[in-house]
Amino acid sequence: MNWKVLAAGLVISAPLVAILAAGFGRDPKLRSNALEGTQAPMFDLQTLDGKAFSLEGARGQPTVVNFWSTWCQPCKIEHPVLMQAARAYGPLGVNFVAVLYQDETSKARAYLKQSGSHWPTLEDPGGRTAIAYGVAGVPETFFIDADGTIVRKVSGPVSQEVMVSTLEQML
Amino acid sequence: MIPELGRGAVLLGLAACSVGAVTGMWAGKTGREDVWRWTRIAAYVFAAAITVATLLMEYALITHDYSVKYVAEVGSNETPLTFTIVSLWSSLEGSILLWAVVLAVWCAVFAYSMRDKHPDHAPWALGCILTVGVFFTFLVAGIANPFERVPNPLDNGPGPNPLLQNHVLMIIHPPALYLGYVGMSVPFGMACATLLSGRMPTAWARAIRRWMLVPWAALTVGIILGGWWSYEVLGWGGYWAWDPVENASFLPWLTATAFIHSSMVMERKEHLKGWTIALVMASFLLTLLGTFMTRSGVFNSVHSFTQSPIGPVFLGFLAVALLVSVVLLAARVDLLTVPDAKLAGPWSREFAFLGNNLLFSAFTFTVLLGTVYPLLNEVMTDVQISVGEPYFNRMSVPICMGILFLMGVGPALPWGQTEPNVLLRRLGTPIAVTAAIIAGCLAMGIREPMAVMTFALSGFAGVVTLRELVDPGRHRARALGEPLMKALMTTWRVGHRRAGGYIVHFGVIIIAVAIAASSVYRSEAEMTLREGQTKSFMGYDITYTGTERIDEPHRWSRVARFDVLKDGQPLGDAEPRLNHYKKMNQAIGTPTVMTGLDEDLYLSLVQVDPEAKMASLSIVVEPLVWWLWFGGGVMLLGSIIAGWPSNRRRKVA
Amino acid sequence: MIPVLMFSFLVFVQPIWALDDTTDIVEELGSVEMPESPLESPPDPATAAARTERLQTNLRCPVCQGLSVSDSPSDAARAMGDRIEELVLEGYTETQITNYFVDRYGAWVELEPPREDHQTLFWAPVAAVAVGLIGIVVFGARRREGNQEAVHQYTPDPSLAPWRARIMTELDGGP
Repeated sequence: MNWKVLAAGLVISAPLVAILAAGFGRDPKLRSNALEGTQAPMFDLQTLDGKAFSLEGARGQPTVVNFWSTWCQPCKIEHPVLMQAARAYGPLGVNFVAVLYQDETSKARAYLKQSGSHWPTLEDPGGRTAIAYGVAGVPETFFIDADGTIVRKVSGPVSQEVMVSTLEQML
Repeated sequence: MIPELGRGAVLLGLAACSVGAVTGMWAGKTGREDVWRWTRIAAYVFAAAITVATLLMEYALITHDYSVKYVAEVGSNETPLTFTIVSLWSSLEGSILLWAVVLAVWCAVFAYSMRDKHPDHAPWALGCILTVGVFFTFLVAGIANPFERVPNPLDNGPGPNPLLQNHVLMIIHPPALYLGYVGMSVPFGMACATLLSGRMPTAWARAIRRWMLVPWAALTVGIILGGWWSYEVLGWGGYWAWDPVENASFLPWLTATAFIHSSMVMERKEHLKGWTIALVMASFLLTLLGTFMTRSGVFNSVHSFTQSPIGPVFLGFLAVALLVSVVLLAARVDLLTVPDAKLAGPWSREFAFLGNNLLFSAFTFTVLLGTVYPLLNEVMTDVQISVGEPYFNRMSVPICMGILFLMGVGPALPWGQTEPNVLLRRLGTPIAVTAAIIAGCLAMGIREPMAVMTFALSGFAGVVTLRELVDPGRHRARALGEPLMKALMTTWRVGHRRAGGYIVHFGVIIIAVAIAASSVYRSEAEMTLREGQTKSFMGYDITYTGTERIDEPHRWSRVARFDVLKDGQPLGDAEPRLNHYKKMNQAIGTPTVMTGLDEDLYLSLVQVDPEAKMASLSIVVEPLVWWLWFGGGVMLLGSIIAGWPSNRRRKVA
Repeated sequence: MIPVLMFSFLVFVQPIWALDDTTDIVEELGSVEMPESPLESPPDPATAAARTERLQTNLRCPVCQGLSVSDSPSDAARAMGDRIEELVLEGYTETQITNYFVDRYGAWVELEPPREDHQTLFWAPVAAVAVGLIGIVVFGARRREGNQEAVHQYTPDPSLAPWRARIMTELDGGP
């Protein structure tokens, strides 16, 4: 048994296996929380009904910005959670606003007529706001506090617990 | 009924290959004929059982038996029949069943072929291959069981991923790839047999190379078909993206190619044995790595199956296989090194082969590093980064230039030591041709360094390869006074391994030229047309003539029609489409590719507005793409010629 | 043995040394627009096209699998490509635009790995090849030395003397 060759082989293979093993439990999808802790990019957009909305105007109150589409299944799963939060926390001063991502406004109107919502949905022409927020998929939800800092970004559907705990924190 | 029958067949197969694995090792150790016979029978039973299981699964798929779990996952009443048959390998569990059946059949073929040959090694080898079979069959019987019974079956299913229903290449690409991947287990088993038995007779070394040739050829075809599929289906006009799973298929191809060359030295000169055996084992280990990457959910890739508990099990098997390989190599180092032998000096073909090994190993290492690096970085620093095309292209271009160069110099070098000026004389004509090509390129205005260098080196290697193919025939014709054609055919028939090898080289050269031309001289544009409007690009006149909606059971499509003229001559109608599948959010486009010998016109539909009568198109013009697929065909032809069983080999009793 | 250890060291340990603190995130990300003004005036069409192409080739489509913005046919990639073109036409430099995206998406949005990783990714394979070459040369030289000695130590076998004498006669003499 040539110990040098054995050792050399193990030195090369063991790290490789270790790296691959360390990859488990990681979500390979590319996400980033780079924006957490920074100032939320301000935007002025129009709602589906043509009214204007400015994030600057919402300063002084916590705001939840949710990017979604009608073709996204997890968004539909998340919708009831958002509805409940809006009902509970809206009166407490939290703004809820949704931004449509890569979708047609006609489809969005039809969906909302069916499922209802308590907050405005904004059109994002050219996807510039989504790009500014580093949106890499839907749904993505940004929790912005009263000073305009992004306290938390959630990629994927927001669960009830995360929604409640983050909102409690912000109030 | 089918869930139970199918699982039963799989369990029978598992039992058979477990028995065979044990008896194979036992027969190898003791040399007992009867135990060897049991091993072979076990292999046949294994193959029969898993084949039955596969046929049962196909039956369930075709008859839409939703009580079978796998059918419930990928079946659908609306999917066309062809794609239903093919959905056997469209999802995780089915693909592992496919792996198992291909492996089982390889075992049976190996057992039959070795029934009266190599009694010292074949039992060990079959035992090892069956051990690999135990792992995969265990997966099919256990964690990845496609035959599980669904308690309350529905009467319809979601259908396979729409991207996998778009094109006919989906039918051949995976089986070819699997034939290659799985086939690497056989030379691996044979290499283990060498190390376990402690002997390496030349006949066995030659046998290992023969059994590597088929998987190698299949893998080559599989990879090229993958590129072709990506080109025809995905809509971006490219054929290789250095995606992690693409790289995973490329890595074993690299080491297998290096092995095929290195084994020539091993056969003739008893040198480079360590390299050769290590390369065989690496090829198999890299296929394990490849299937791990596809199925573990650790890598972000076009090919990823969904995350599943299979990942850790695969990694475990990979770790065990790595350990066994390293231990065996370390234990038998004396077998692999020859103390008094002298590798011929630097101006010899042996040395060129050694250089070739080094270059291919460097290539393998580079691609592996680039693929695994983002994972490494994230584990260490928790920051996600990308290592994408720019890096891989930058690193592979010099290496490929080196390979092209060696393809020219290597065959020109004789075996054994020689003088440098002999070499220069032999390379006289090729160098002259190279210079002429460079001059020609510059004269024609081709100045990009990568393109010029590729064309020049391709000419260099091409001339040498052509000469090596034709010289034996020419010498024979002159010496025997035979007509040239007859002499050529005789030398090619008798020396078919050599001739086939050089034809494969030709294929590689064609592919190199095609890649250089299509990447450097690619032109893109976007245009929006009103109905009836014509716009031009690169000599093509494109007129939008209208749109139509087509409804099919599993999808509805919007087709846009365009009349295309090339340099004033009608080229045909282009009908790129946007397909909307049930349950898929965004439309999946089917591009139209109009192939010519000189270039391809690639039309991808971006948007159609029937009311406004407008259509937006993305256009790519890429030269010499057809030659890529043609080069692949040449490589396949060369491998068939090289691997054809020759009548001269007589069975040694 | 030592060469193997050396290059394993190079490959696997260097990333730790090359560790950087998280990239400087501009605090003032508070706008959809660029946080700073363009460093240059709007470029002419040829430069603009070249810059746009370079950026679109180096920036990754966020919703696709490994494709660059220029390669991907998806809507999200188109939106991003258009935004890049807008910014180029306003006179922003490639560095400014790249940073804009990296700050918001993360380092992975660049297909090229970050500067500090360039060293490992480039030098590790080069080192591997160099080590291999050195190993071959040294190993081959040592073997050749051994063989030279063997050659010099050759002495003719005395028992073969009559045969050698006969051969010499036949070579020198006639039939």
